[in-house]
Amino acid sequence: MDTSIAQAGPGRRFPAASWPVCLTVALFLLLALVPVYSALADSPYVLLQFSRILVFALAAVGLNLALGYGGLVSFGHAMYIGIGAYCVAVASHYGADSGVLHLVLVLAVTALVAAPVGLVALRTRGIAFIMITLALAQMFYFLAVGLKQYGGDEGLPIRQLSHFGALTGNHAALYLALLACLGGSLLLLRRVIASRFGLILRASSMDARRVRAVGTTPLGYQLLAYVLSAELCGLAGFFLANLTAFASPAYMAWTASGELIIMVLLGGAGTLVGPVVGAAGFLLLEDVLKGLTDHWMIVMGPVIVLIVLFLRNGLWGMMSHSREDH
Amino acid sequence: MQPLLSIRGLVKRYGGLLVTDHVDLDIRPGEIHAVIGPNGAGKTTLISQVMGEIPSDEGTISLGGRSIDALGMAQRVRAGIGRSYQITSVIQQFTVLENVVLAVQGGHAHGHGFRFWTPAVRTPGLVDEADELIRLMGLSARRDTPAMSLSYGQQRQLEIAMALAGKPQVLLLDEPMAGMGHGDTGSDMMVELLRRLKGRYGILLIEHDMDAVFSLADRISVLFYGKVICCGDADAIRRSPEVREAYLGDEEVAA
Repeated sequence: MDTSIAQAGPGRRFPAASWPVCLTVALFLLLALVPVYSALADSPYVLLQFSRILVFALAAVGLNLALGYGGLVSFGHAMYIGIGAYCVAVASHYGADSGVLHLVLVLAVTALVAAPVGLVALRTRGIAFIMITLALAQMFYFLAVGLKQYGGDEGLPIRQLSHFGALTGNHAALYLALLACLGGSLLLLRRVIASRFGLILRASSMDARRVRAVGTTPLGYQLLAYVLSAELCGLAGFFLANLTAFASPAYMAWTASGELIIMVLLGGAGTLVGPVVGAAGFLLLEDVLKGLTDHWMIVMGPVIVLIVLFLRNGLWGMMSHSREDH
Repeated sequence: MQPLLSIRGLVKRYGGLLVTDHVDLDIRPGEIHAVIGPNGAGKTTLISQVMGEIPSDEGTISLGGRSIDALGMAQRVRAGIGRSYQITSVIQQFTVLENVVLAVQGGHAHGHGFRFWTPAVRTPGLVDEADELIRLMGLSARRDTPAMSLSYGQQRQLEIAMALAGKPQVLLLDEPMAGMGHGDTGSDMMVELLRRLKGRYGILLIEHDMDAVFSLADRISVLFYGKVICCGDADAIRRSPEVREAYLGDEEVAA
């Protein structure tokens, strides 16, 4: 492990690898300062807005594992945000407010849904995969709308947030927990992507036949990547429920799934940190444009199209490649 | 001598078209068995059927005396069949090392790939074997180069390295010299390479380069419209009137 780095020579490999790392660390330091700024400027809205950004960043990082690295264009990942949120809301509805219980429930239910959904969807490829993930997500959307005892289409308010002792309901604590989860996910994914599992997953997205021709069946690897990616979205849903004290069917609307895909593409699909930048860029741009005009979508649409068309590897690709290439 | 790979009565139909017409073919241990035939004779289809990429309509294929008809492609590879593709199909975005490690880890000796922590290109068991193959193919200097930056010939060599990585008993090589041109850097080098592999594997070789086929092959089968019309050593093939008529036509056969 150490020897290969030594052989490559620090002068050659070090700068290329460290620039994106430095950028990422700087990004996280800035994000860690948001609660401080929010307290000093007495602006809870800033903290709320950045919490939202982190929620969707976490979900986008999750989707990126399936979409960016696995080549599985899921048009239904917002479903798992919704499932995460509803787990919290429904448990709390029945008086179970233990935070640990909520977390376990979210992760377990997400896996129980994602495994069969993934198995069905992975029988198809390309457009069919997009359509079947969309269809299955819509099924869960209408299930949530139809469950009148849990608020139906109006959603379910959460009276008791996930209980974590004195930190319960503390926005700054929620924000920092989110940031820690996001950072942890990135560190974990960094290892997983480079591992033997990650190698097979990435190869399968580029040439599944080639993977079979070396004796490995891609299905299991793709399915596990799909489930792991759903888990991160479920976790994002857990945070979103606690942030808004609400679970709504709108969380899993197909438009929300579409926005997740846009965040991944905007930041750079198949780059580790890209989805974080994409989520931040998307939500901040939306925020700014909404303040300027009611017709903000007319501006937002073309901007996104142009960025995705002209920036190879999205915003993050542009930022992290500015030095060593060409 | 018991054949390593044995194909009996293999058939593939596309609608009314008989692409593989009751083919019988054996590969003995250590021999190069070349399959030649004009374009569209069904050579690549035959390889794909043996690999399990294309399901066969009739017939049976056995490896070392055991039927592999029920196995999928990945299972057949693990059972001991390796193939290279006519159209280079290495993973372009991967480095040479990553490509070969991918192929090495697919071999039956390395278990399942659900390993999440150690970087694949730093897993000792995998990298050592991969480096050995890279050296064998003379690609050591390009070890960390993305496949897309390799020359065409080097990509062909990488393709062979990946076919060997699963430690196969039988190698199916689909036009390994296609598009390489003659000379030291082209087909001559590949012929030299195949000569070195000869004896260690049972090789089914599909090739258009007749010089290469006649100099390498122990036996040659001629495929014509999906049917084996002749099978024998180089001399027998040269002398066969059917072959002359069906395939070689007026073409001068190298002495």
